[in-house]
Amino acid sequence: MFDNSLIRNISIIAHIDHGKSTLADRILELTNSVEARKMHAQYLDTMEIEQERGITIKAQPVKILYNAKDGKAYEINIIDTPGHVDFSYEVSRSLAACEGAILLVDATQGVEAQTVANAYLAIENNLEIVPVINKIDMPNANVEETQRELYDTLGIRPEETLLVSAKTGEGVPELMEEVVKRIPAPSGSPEDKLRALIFDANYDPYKGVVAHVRIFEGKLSTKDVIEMMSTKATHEVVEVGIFSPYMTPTNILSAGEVGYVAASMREAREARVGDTITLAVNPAKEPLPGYKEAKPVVYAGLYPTDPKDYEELRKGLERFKLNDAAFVFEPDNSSALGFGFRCGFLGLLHMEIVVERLEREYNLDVIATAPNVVYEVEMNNGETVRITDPAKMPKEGTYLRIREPYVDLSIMTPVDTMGAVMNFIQNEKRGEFVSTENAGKNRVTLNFKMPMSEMIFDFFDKIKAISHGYASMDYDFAEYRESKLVKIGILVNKEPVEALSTVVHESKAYKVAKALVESIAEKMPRQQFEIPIQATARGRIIARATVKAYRKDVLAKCYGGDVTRKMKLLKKQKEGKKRMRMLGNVSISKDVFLSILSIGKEDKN
Amino acid sequence: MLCTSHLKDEISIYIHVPFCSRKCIYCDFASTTHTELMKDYFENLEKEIDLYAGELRGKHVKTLYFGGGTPSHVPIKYIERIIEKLANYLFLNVEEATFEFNPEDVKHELVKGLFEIGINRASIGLQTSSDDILGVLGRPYTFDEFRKSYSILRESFENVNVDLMYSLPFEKVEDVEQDLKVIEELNPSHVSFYELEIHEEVPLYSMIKNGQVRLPSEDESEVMYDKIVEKMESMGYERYEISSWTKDKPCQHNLKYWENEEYMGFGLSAGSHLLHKRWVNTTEINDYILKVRKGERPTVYESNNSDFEEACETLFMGLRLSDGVDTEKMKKEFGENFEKAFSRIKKFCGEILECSPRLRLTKLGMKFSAMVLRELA
Repeated sequence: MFDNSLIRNISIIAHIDHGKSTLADRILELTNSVEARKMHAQYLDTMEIEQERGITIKAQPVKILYNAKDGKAYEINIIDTPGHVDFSYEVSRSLAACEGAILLVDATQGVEAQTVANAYLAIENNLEIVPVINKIDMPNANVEETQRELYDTLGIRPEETLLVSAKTGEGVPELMEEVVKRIPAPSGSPEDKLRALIFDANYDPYKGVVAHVRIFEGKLSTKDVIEMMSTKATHEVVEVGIFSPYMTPTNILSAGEVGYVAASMREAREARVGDTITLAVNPAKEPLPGYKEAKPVVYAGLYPTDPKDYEELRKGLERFKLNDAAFVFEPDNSSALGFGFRCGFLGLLHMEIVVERLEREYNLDVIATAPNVVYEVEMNNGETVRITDPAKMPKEGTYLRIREPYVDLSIMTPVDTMGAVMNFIQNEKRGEFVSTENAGKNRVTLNFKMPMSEMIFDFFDKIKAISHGYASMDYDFAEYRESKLVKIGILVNKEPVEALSTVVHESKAYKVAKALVESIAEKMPRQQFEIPIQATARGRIIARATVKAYRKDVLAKCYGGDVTRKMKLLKKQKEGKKRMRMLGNVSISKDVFLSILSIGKEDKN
Repeated sequence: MLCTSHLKDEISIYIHVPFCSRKCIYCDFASTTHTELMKDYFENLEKEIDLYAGELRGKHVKTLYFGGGTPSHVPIKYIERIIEKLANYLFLNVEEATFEFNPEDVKHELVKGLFEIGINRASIGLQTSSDDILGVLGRPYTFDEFRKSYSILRESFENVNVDLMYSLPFEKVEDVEQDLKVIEELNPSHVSFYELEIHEEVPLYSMIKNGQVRLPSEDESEVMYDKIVEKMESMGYERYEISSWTKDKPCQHNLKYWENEEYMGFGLSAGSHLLHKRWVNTTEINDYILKVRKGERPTVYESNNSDFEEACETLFMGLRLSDGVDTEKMKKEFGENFEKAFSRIKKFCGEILECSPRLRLTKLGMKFSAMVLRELA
């Protein structure tokens, strides 16, 4: 068994593309931790999507042995963190499992908003930070400016920073020495009552749910009966082990170590990220701090492209949920789309990843409707309901107020684009300016409070365009605020179609309504007759567009012998049309309906 | 009284000649390439006329129309015999006698011969001036050949109609523009410009379904439509019916159909309208021959229209005309049945339908005529 003082638990904090996975690969190489033949580039990103997009979604821990210059062999656990803002809670739990973090910044791109946010998270968790400037081999590397930005944003002095090239390996051995020197060893005692933090979990077809844990105090062995402190549920441990880098059984894990626990758990929610594991006999008094239940903030409908795949989709979602406790779903059906599911996600990227994984790993053909945030509605009787589907927004007059989620948004952008960004967020996105901070020679950090719904459409692209590609941002849920929201209803041929309704701030009602009806009218194929598409708000029609009537028809010519035949043909068409009615009294295919429901989806990235 | 009896005495006659050298891929008319049946067919066509002696006798014929198929595909002697047969029962003081030609059949001798037996209006099917598209449609001539045939017709006939279609397979707006230039150059007295109709039973329908043939989109064909309307007007043609354009000679025979007057049709698939009664002949040539040979009328549909049906049909046909229908006249003739029929399309009054003094489609309404007309079915 290792001595506690020879353990280092670390994370690597970096923005997408700043070279985190490459650095991890170099470290694994340096320590001969992965056999060459098993090592495909970028070991830590094991999911296909992660490798394609170059981002980390599921944190993947790895344990390595490092022979330091002091002659001792150190056990270093690298706990990787998801690289996207939707997973900030997961990031915070991964960080909580460590004593230190490598803060990796790209010398060609400088400090990014999200990196700063995660660095603050690390500081809040009392982590020792080892700042590293990467890509120093690149011709456009600007080490000095990057050092200045680190000082401006995080107060890190230039002499503290290490310079590396993860690509060539330059500076990596020196970095490892500094990790051992600067980052403290874990402090808990193996003799105390067991407290282990679950910082991640995955589903294994043979072992069930596997919890990734950091043992803070005590010991954990095979056959122990453990208790989940948030739910009091107990399980018998079937297997414990370490990641070296693949799951390797060890029979025991003790204070300071990082590893995994399998205990015949069937569902992801039985091992919740942030929960504390203790022993059922002689349990710890207090759980580790910081547990939160992950709550979905964005909802969307998922429908099978082919209705007969509904069962397949349900099974796929159930299997998927085993792996992802943050994902929720419930059956939903719409008169136009048939049967599907209303699904909750941590954010827009989470949603996109779920849809993509369902298609790739579960072989399902899925169509997602446009996402929406969750509204809180205080009803006349004092009850508060959460509305996850705008179509189900209660009627005008039945509620006292509606609240919508706001985010704390910080945007780092070059000074010369500051005005444009401010203008966009304040005038077009209902954002409120909070503060500004220096972030390097020509950069500032702008802080806002903004309704989350404003991020759903036409946000990320616009910010990138306004800042000529230089802005980076970070956001986190802040609070629910009362807001003057209106439900926009859509009438197709004068009949309401609930599935098309949406909720917007009253200041935007006209603009959104107009865009919506025009888009619907454009996407609908021509009909047998002209169809008005109208948008209503507060019982009034506020926008209108028209779907054109067919012209191609069978009445171009009609002479003496044709009268009867044409009349019969038209009657037959009329009857056929009656059978096709789907949307109000207008026949419309499901494809078209879905394309209407996903309006704006293409604007998102 | 004199006026009414005179009207009742008048009738228009249609003769269907179903023979063609080949069948075009879009054609849903009753036609056949079995020319060996020609002799039998015409014998029975004469017989069919005999079967209606009672209805025909003593009536005056102002308009006569030989349609097809391709009337120009059969020897002129058959046409002469039919005219002689009709003359047995009817007073042929014909003002307009139309004969349909396909470009490949037009010969000096035939045209002269027809002129001599009293044909005074020719209708020729060009369909498109694009040789490529003609090839796709299976039309057996080129545009140059058509041009020659057209000049031959014009030597004998002042009143010539050119049939054109748009929204054809692989057609582009430029092709339609070229067609319009051709009209400008040829300057025929009458032009019929139809949007291609596609019926499920024709080969083109399955070719489109299989993806072998691409049709212009709804939007493209709308652009074609707009070009046609704009250019035809600027060339001085008057649009007197949805698909019919003329400088000064509307087709008198077709007007009878659209005004829902009385007419009788003989031959395969021909339709008749007489005394609120409507009937239509079989479209099967063997069926036709066998029935008539046995002395039976070869109809597959007969109906005594109710006043309401008659009112609907009168509107259905009348709204095709730019002048529409005379509301007061229809009220007098059909009373509440007119109101009932009118109520089906009342919702279009305004931008689409002009509702007084005459009831007629507006210029925009003409574009979306099907939307209105289908309500009357």
